[in-house]
Amino acid sequence: MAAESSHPMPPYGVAIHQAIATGDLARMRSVATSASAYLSENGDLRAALEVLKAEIARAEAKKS
Amino acid sequence: MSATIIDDTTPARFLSDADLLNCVPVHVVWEITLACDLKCLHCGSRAGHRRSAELTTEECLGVVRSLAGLGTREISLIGGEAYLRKDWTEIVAAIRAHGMYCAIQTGGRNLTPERMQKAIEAGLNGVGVSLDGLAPLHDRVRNVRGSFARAVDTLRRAREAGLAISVNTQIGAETMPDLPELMETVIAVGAKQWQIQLTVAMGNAVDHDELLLQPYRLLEVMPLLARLYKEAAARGLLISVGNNIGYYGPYEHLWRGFGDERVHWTGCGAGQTVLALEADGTVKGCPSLATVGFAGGNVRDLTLEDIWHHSADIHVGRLRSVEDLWGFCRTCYYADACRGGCTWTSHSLVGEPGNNPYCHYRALELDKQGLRERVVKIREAAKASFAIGEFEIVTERVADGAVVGSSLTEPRPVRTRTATAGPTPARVRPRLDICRGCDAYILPGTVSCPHCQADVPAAAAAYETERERRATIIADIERQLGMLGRLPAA
Repeated sequence: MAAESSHPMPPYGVAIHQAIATGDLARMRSVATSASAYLSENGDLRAALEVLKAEIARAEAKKS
Repeated sequence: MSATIIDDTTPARFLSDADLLNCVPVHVVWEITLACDLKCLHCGSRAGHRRSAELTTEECLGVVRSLAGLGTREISLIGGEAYLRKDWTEIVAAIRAHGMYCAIQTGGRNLTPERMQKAIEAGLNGVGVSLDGLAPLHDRVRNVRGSFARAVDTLRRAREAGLAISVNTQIGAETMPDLPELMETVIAVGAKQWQIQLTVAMGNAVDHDELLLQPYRLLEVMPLLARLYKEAAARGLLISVGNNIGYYGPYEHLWRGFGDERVHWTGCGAGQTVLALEADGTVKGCPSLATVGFAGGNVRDLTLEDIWHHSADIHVGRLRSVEDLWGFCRTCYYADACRGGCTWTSHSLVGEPGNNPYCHYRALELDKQGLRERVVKIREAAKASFAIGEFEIVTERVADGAVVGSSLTEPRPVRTRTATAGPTPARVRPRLDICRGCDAYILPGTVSCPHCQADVPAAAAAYETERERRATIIADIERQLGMLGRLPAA
């Protein structure tokens, strides 16, 4: 994780190529991006879980 | 407060307390040639032809060794155009061999694929390209038709080749309308950093003073930049401002910390952690400053180490105090922290640092009084590189244009310079607190904010509560993502 510096870094000439956003807002965005990516790749886990529970209930009903 | 933890991911240019106290020239900006293939109307160094007696290859390699020994961590190569030196990739290779970060800032007209490939093989880390507006404005200011297209092409090729890329933009009198669409271009080419600064009255820009933004227009520029900053941040682009954009207005907390709102302007850093070289070996504390008055010596006459440690002419950032300020700056609330803003900007205008009309806080305070400031040229600049002219700072009433003040009648400080036996001492800069009622910076220990009259401790407590709530939300989702093996990159 890039360190946070409390000293401004005078930008002369070229911009600071290695700089990345810090602070709460940047961190929240990063986490939201990861969470959104996970959800988009894995669909609706809650809905899938409800279907699974229904199947468990059916399977248990057959056995009893 | 020092919060710097240096690790492998820390940008080379991040400063620690030790860097400041020991005056380590962390970042060096080096004009390796004044030869240029553009004819920019705002060029402060009047680049075009080589300087007479530019440093030889061996001399340049000696400079690299000296800089490495002084603790330099990053070198930006500039010109003119750095790639117009035949040995430029040899210099890049030497810089990289010493473990220093190396990038060039270029107009991008002729950084051909062949030149770029050789630089990559030499170890070049990155390329900054200047875009001064959309194509019509850029081409006119850069004075070469088609230069915008060439510059954008350079950015694309550099990114595809794996180089870090960034864009620099100067704000002049006509730039503002172009900025939103220009930002789209910057994002589209894949740049992650966009550095913005004001055009300064030096060299060619004095000849073409119609290009200069008037100080009172900061009241338009700063809200626009703030809006663009927030939009850019949400889209993965970091906007940073040059040293002459500021200071302490309502958006200061955005400009310099990349999200770390503790970071604010703390005065000119020239000669404290920045060192500059001209192509003939002249050493300065900042690449932008005039040669006359700010040259500390030449590497052909003195060692770079001796110049850096002992030449008071380059220790601008180490030396200035409130006593060196004049005009509005002398009695400003932020005088001790700010120390007159950018030395280059104010000195180029009025021949003297310490009174800088290009200040958002100053423009706002004057506006509250129904006043504003304009700069008016009263003397042309000489044809030499880095030459300055002279401008009058006129204070006028907004309502009827009546002139109520002039920099020509302001008393100026009497400057004395004392030779020191050892290195000029430096200091860690004053730190300001931030009022969480209005996000303006305040003197440490302030209880009632002078800007918004908020109860500072109460506003700070409310902010801390809010921050802890956010931290809990973040931690909860990170915990869940962690269990799924999907933690975001730190």
